[in-house]
Amino acid sequence: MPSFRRLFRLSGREPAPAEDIAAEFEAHLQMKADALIREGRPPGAARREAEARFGPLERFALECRRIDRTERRERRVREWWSGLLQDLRLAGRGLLRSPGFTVTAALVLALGIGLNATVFSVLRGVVLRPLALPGPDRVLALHSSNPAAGWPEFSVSPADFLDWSREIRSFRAMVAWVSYDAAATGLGPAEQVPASAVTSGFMEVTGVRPALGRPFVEAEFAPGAPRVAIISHEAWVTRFGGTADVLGQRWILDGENREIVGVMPPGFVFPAARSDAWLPFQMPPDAMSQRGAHYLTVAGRLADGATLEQAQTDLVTLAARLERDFPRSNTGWTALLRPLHEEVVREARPTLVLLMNGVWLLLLLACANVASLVLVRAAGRSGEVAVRSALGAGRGRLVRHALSEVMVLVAAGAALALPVALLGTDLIRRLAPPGVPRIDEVRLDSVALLFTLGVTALSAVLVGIAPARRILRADLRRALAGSGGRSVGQHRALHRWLVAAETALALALLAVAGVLLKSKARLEAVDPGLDPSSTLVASVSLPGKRYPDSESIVRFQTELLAHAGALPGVESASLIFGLPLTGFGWSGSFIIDSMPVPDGVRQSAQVRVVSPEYFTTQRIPVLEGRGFTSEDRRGSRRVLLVSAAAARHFWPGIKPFGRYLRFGVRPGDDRPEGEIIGIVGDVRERGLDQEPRPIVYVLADQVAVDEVALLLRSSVAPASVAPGLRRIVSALDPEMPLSGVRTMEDVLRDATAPQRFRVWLMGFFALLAVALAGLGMYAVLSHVVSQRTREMGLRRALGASDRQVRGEVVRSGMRDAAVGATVGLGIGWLITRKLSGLLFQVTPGDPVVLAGSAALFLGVALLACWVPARRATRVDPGLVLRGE
Amino acid sequence: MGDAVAALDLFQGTLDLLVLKALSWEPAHGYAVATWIRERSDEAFLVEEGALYPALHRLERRGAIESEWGLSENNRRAKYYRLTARGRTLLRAEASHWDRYVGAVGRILRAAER
Repeated sequence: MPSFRRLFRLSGREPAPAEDIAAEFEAHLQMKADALIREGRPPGAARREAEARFGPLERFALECRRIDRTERRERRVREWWSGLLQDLRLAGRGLLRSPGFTVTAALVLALGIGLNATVFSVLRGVVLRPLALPGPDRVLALHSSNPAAGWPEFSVSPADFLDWSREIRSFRAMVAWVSYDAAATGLGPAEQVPASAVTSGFMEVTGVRPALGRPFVEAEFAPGAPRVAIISHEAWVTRFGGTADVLGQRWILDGENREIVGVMPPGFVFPAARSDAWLPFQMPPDAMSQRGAHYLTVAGRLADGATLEQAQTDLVTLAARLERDFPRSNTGWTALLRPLHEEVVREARPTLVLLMNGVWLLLLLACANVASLVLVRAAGRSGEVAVRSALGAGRGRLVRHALSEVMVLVAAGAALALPVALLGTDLIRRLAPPGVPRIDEVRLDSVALLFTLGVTALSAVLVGIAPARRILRADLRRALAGSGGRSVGQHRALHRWLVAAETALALALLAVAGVLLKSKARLEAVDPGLDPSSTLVASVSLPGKRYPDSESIVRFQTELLAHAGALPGVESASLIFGLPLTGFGWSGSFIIDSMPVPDGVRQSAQVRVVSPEYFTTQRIPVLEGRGFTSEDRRGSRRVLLVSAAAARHFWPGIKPFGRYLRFGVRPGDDRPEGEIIGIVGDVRERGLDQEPRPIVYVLADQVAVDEVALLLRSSVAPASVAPGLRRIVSALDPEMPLSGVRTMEDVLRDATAPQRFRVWLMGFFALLAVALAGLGMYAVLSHVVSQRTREMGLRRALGASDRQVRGEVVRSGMRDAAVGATVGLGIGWLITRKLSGLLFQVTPGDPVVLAGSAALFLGVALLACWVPARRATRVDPGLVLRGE
Repeated sequence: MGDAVAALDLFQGTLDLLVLKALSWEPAHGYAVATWIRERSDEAFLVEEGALYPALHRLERRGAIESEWGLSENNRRAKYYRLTARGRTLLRAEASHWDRYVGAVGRILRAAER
């Protein structure tokens, strides 16, 4: 009766295949022998004849066995799949019947998976993805380095660069460049476009040729060569209409009329920041004598077969020789290199790795959360499982049945995770602090999707462990006997683990976010040394073509300041080269007149070029001596102000007034000396988390600089001054672009943008984590209370007070939470310990933060315990005693 | 070796078709199928009767026939094979395939004689 067997899948009753085949063959032989006997053969001969006619029995038996084995395997696989489909259908139907549970679990998983996909695609786009150049790992960044002077990594001087690129054989080519904002005119209103002047190695180092037109030719790098430019794809499309006749058109950059000879392919970015125009860098004729002026950025492409180590050795060896040959300019200078990719991603990596850690924790938490929800739900059905088991379902089938629900949930979560990830990447792109490289190129690409798939599979396993374990461990007979109602005690251990795990994960995230928050608060409480309120800033850069000398520059700037200061509402107008917190600046070296320093050794400090009003505009106090006045001007005695840090550093214990500094790079060519007339307050111009450096202030009238920031302090809202300023500038010079118009407060805010970005995201993760953990605890405790209704009722009937019953429920939950909290604080500490580079005035294990996070979390946990505990005391003992 | 394999393949396919045909009347055990084929082919096929069994097991694996143990007319336990719906479809397809095959080969041979 095979059909009956098949119907109930009683596989154990089938005869072993070998016996079955032997019996079948034997039946055949006997029937054959019977027939032969009926024909009149003697039995013995009949049997022999039958065997002979049958052929090689063993071979046929073997062949049949092989066929049957395959058949059995195929049937098992077929049945497994159809069973799985059936289970999934059943699970789907079951989930639809409890939409609250389903939606919650799917959303929690979608958040966990989606945030992982989000942060991973940002990490990949910004950090992991190689540079978009051919042979990206062969391109290195090269720096000058003077660790003793406090410049571990510095720009390169033209003479050093020329020597490096000429002599180092381990490089196929080197390129040096200077990036700046060029004033673009002749196409609508004047504006500033990012431009780079590059040396002739540009194409060979990048390995990228223009998509349209031609690369630069060698002659174009010679002084006096015709002016040409290669533009970016983006500039071609937005400014030149994207038509092929752009070649030969002209673009006026910084007053120089340049012919466009090429267009780079779309997406070409070198090295990290966008440039809209590349121009041939024309080495100054006296380049070989400019060894002290470090202003070039340098990269190189390794020669075939050369290694990074070899290049490093060659570079350091050459730098040491240059140091010996040119002691005046090169003493203390060596060089270093690293992959350009490393250089580009260095800043962004710690933050993104931190966020990745955050979303991992969140994913684990989401999985633990859904696992506990699934468990609570499954506990109500342990009777069903027992019945299925009694009817002959194997453990494998039971586990598959239990897991099918998890699979449907995870699949739904993964489907919902995609919109979460799309939204998330978009949000991160927008929230990212300025200066994150390649952030515009972040996409949810195939690699990110593959990663998401992996995360999804992992989630399925993590969520599935609990229900599967429950079935494999469960004492099904007991569950059957009690029809499932009282089988909760044995799963308690698992529930408690989950509560502890969720607590640990949430608290870890909370502790990390807390440390970051405190760091940010500390940073924002730092006194920058200036007053950023009510101040508008804008950058003004004078095209060298029309402002060729100091006189014309100073004339323009004086007029601009006079007009701007007269704008309604403006209290004070000034300018500076090297606005604090913008990364701009200039370090100069000088000789101090009265200091007994060894010959050739120079002092150096930050040099800032300002107009006299600057200290009034920024409210930087003049501590001693006097500030600049309008009497200090071009042609009058050269005067200097020094910052308090400079005074402490160079003249400890002495008043430096009346002392002189002699600037100038080349001996015998010193520019006139300047006399120190006062000391002004320190400014944290490098970053709020950086100690103030020594600064020497010189007068813009006396040291003309063509690229300055204009500052206007007003009694009205600073933004309302901007239109007037634009009017003034275009009246003075219609071809002068005004860019970077913003308030000084914006500048300060930008300086803490990375901290804010980290705090916002980690804070969001942490709050999400606390909410999830609270939800998980609430679900588990509610379930426990509902399972123990009878017991609670009994105990209250026997005289236990509400307080006692409540207390016990809360205690049982809080005990697990406390264990988890301890572990969580440990994990948090481990993570923050790796963050010390990102922290300001906070130690990783900051006790206030840890205690605060623990208190906050345990508060939430208490609430999650309290609600179910109150429910326990609402049970009417009489009702319980009268029967279930 | 190549020829031998080709001959075996042809024989297997043919034998499967014959088995299906034998079972298309009524369920039967292996011995009855063997006798049926032997009698109708003037003993041209099935020189070794045991060769029938791999064919039966293979067809069972393909779902064309199913088997159950029963008692033979002489009260012997024997495994009975029965054609399934799928087997019937297979028989129709294989038979028409065989007809086309034989027809095509025959046409070629006749054309060559002319």
